[in-house]
Amino acid sequence: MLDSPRLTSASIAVRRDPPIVEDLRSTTVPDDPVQRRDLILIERARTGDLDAFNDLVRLYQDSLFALVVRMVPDRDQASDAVQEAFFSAFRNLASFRGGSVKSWLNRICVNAAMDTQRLRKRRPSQPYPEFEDESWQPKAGDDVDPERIAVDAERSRAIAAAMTRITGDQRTAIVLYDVEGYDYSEIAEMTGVSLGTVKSRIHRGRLSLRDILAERMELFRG
Amino acid sequence: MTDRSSATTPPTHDTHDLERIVALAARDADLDPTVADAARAQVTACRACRDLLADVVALSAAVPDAAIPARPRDYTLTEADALRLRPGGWRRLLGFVGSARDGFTRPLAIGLTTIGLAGLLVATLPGALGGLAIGSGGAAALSTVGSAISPAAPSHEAGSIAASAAPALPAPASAAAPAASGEPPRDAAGEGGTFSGAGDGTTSQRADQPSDLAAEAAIGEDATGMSVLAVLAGAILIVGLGLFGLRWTARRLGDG
Repeated sequence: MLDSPRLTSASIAVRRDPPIVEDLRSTTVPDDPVQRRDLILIERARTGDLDAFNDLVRLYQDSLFALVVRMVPDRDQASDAVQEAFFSAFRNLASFRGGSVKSWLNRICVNAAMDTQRLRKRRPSQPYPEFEDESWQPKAGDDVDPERIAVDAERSRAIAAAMTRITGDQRTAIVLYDVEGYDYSEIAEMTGVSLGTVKSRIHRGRLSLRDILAERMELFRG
Repeated sequence: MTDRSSATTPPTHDTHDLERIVALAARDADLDPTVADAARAQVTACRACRDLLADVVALSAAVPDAAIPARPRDYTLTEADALRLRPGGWRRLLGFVGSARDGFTRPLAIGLTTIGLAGLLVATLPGALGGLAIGSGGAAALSTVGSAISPAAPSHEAGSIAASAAPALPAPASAAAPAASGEPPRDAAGEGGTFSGAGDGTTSQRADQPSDLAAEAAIGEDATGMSVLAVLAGAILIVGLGLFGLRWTARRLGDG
């Protein structure tokens, strides 16, 4: 992990010298320490250092699983998609073209999730059969008021359940926009559709969510 | 949150454009000002639209807090995974082609595609380029030469030339066959140009050298009547486009 001796500040400082790498876009040392750390790990992984790649996996597996499981409403399928995405990233380390490693991994995961969605369309499975499962983790806030925690948990489950009932395309667009913070054009590029289609999916998805949750909107108001 | 008590829902609410309200809720930067104004007017006049706006804003804020399951396993790769996944052979090559380190295939693909397109243009537009093309080329050039030698030659002599050349000329069969039957031969471009020889001995000189004629024609056309230049240019174009396709595939694979 990052605490390992391989990633001391000294080693990062050494990398500030002009590194001898072939990818011109990754030679510009970014100011962002996170990005700098990621690029170092990628460079090491490219030279065959499996530990460096696994450091990246440990750093991003939670956020990537959270992204994919929002898009693919089946925990096992989402998990398989994330694993496949990491396999794909490892296979294609050479084709990393610089920039943000997180964005690169996100993009691979989004592709894997969309592939899984296409597969689900052909072979649909029951969405979220694990809803009663305790492994579902609504975000716990700082508020310690038990009633407030219960309401938050209920709201969190309600929105998650509603998300499973809108179409996969709408879900993907909404997750990328509302959760991941991509803008319309980035989503259009990632999903391979036009800007207008992205907007339409987001707007219609929100309308659908509102229709689905019409009876429970009090949870979300005020 | 909006004031829910003071607004009323007109009976025309069903005809309201709700997507407009959702767009307003999203605060789209590129939302048309007239659409935005119309949406605001709708929200002001209609309680249901006002509720919708408030609900959509609240739902958008709630989406990131949706419950997600705990990550079920660790995704780190084992040595066995790494061995299995490490690219080798064509995948390694494809990985290089798609990578930023590859500064070779893109200019090569551009160059080959350009040459291929230019070659096809030259081969298919011989007239426009002053007969530079060997292409349709071959026969057309020969007919031009023949006309220059003797513009007034009788057409039956042309037939005899073609007939004598025909056995050695498998390629321009379409041009030679009608000539042998006494019809004026057509050049490969189908322009009906006559292949005429001179009656003062030039004809016999040319007729005595069928192998030269055959060689010239063979440069111009293959057995299917296609120009060699066109075939070559087509092949180069295909290779160029193929390289573009290879790069695209490699980059797609690179993104998973």
